Amino acid sequence: MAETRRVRYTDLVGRPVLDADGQRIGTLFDVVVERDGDEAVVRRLLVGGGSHRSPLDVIRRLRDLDAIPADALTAIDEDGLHVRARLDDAPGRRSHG
Amino acid sequence: MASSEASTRRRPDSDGLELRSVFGHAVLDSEDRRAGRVEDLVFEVRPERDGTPRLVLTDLVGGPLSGPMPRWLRRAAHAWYRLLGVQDARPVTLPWSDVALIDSFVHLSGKRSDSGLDQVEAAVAGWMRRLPNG
Repeated sequence: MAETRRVRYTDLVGRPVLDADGQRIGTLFDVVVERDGDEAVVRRLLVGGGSHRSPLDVIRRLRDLDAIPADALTAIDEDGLHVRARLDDAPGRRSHG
Repeated sequence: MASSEASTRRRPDSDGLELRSVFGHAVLDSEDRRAGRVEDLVFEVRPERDGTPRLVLTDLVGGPLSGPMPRWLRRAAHAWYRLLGVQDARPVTLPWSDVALIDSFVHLSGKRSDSGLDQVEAAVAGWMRRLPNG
């Protein structure tokens, strides 16, 4: 089994989010944490189409965010965040704005 | 306290906390003294039994030199801090459990001096004390 590792928020945000077929769903804009016992656990990935690196991009994409349940996450590697969903039927996708 | 203000105050473990509402925000200690900014957040990526990752928010990063910057600028900042008297300027990592409340600021449950978040200000205050009066 893989070991626990640590990752920074600034290293996650802006990374590509890829579906089960390796297709790019979008870019990670933010994560939503919720309490689980004594811990703060990521429950949703907020994914948008832009890079979210520039302020203009953030404004442009703020209304186009999709929320993907974090339990759909299958891996985090150098390519980005891999989720179980497919581009057309990502579970829990919703408009954020 | 105005009700609208009260409605924006939340505990750090509130359900549905979007981390952009924390990232970059100013930090206050338990005595409402400035303690820098939230420069980053740290997660543990824990593998579940089926190998899928579970992301757990564990730490807040603040203090000097904690933000991303080019190597040359980091060296220059180190030199500047040494001139101020901070010999070992480095980011401070605090457990997320030390965050007591989030509103316009991120409130810590402890004093900034306990976590080393006052190292630069303490050095500047030392210089100020050396200046001649008037």
